[in-house]
Amino acid sequence: MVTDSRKTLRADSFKPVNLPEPVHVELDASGQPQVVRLPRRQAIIAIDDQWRLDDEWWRNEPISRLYWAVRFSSGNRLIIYQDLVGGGWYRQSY
Amino acid sequence: MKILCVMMPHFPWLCEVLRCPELNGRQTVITQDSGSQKLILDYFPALDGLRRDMSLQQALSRHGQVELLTADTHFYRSAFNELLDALEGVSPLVEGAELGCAYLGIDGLQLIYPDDATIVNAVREALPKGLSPHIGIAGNKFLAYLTAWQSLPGGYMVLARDAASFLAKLPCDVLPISGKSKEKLVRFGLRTLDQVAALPPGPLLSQFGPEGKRMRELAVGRDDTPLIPRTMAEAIEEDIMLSSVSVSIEAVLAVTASMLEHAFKRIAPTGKGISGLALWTRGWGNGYWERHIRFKEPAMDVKRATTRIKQVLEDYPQPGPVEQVGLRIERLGYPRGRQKSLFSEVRAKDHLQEEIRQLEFRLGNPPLYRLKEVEPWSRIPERRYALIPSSR
Repeated sequence: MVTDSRKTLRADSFKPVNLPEPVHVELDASGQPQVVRLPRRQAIIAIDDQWRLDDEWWRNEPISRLYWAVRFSSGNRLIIYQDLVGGGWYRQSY
Repeated sequence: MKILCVMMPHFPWLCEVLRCPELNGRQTVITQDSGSQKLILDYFPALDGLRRDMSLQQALSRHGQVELLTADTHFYRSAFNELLDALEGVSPLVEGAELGCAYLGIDGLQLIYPDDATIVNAVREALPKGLSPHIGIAGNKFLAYLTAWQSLPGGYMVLARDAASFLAKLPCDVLPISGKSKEKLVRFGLRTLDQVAALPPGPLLSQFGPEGKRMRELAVGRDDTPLIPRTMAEAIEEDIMLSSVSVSIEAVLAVTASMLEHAFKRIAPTGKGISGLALWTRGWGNGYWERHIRFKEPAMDVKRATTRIKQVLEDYPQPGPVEQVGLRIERLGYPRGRQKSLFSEVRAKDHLQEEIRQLEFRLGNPPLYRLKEVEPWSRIPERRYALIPSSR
């Protein structure tokens, strides 16, 4: 007879991957991202793409994000988004 | 064989009250879905005229002001399993019949429990306070059930006298036979067990078939149904709360695979595979979905099991977004025959597992994770993949 460990799986044994990381973003007068601190200030020279994501609107905490694919003067690219519910800025690969 | 029956009438309702004490004294009815119909599972004991499996319309026509609760079958079963675990501390032979009714084999326990009162006290102490079980002791399951049924809440009864005189005036409703046969008995004017016992077996057999034979044997107090103790399979239960609600089969399948891995590790030393399991999900808004899945050949690994489970998930879609997934291993079986691999991949896998165990021992638990696809197509990036401890 095998001993039953009675162990129940818990939600925290599953770790989500690619969670958003908070970043500090400075906006220009038109409300578009101009500078991202990573933590060094990096100026955005181009916005390659922009899209909006709305989901789970039926839940207490709906998801509403505005994503920006931006390019820096160094040539590096980054995807950031503004949380339209909470108002914060985050970086996250898409 | 001496059998002790523990009976807790209205067990689902008791579970709801234990979970939410404010419900105590309120007129509540617990309903469950059966196809497109809602049936009564249980109800506040003071509500008269209700019975289990009655349709909700009928119940509401009698008691229009009742509060309705949706049955949380998994919760009741888990609570019942905990009670059975506790009862196994009194006797190793415990059979869980329907929810709220258990049988204990108490032969040969005289050295530990010298008399009936001592074992009854041990049973009461093993159960949580406030349940007031009915307890009956007799020579077979049917008589033990009836003595428990006749005893007072929190009390007990031992059938010491002649079974025939005890059974004589009991109504035929106590017989564990189909509703159709019960109606037929009423039409024949047979209302008590002594009337059934007085009939010769021939006419009963011709009218009721094999059930007629059984009802006569029960009516004279004979029941050869064996006590079937719980097996290890019944004790294997797992469940996972998803980090977010999901409507995808793959998400359900991913967590199911993780639970199966855990289950297979526990089963592995027996050399058996899974030949039957129950998979359930609880959805957003408390919707409950459950399917019993059988395997033609016992599944010996996660891959084989999930292939079959995927078919079932596709054939019986979820009623809505899923928040919790669970499984219960119901049957184990030996494989018919397996050809062992000539290749060393199995050994390599064992080697890797050993390395992981060593690392966990040195660095804490769990240092290593595996990347698992959960909803790879999701629009929300953090929902696409998850890390699962490699030791699971």
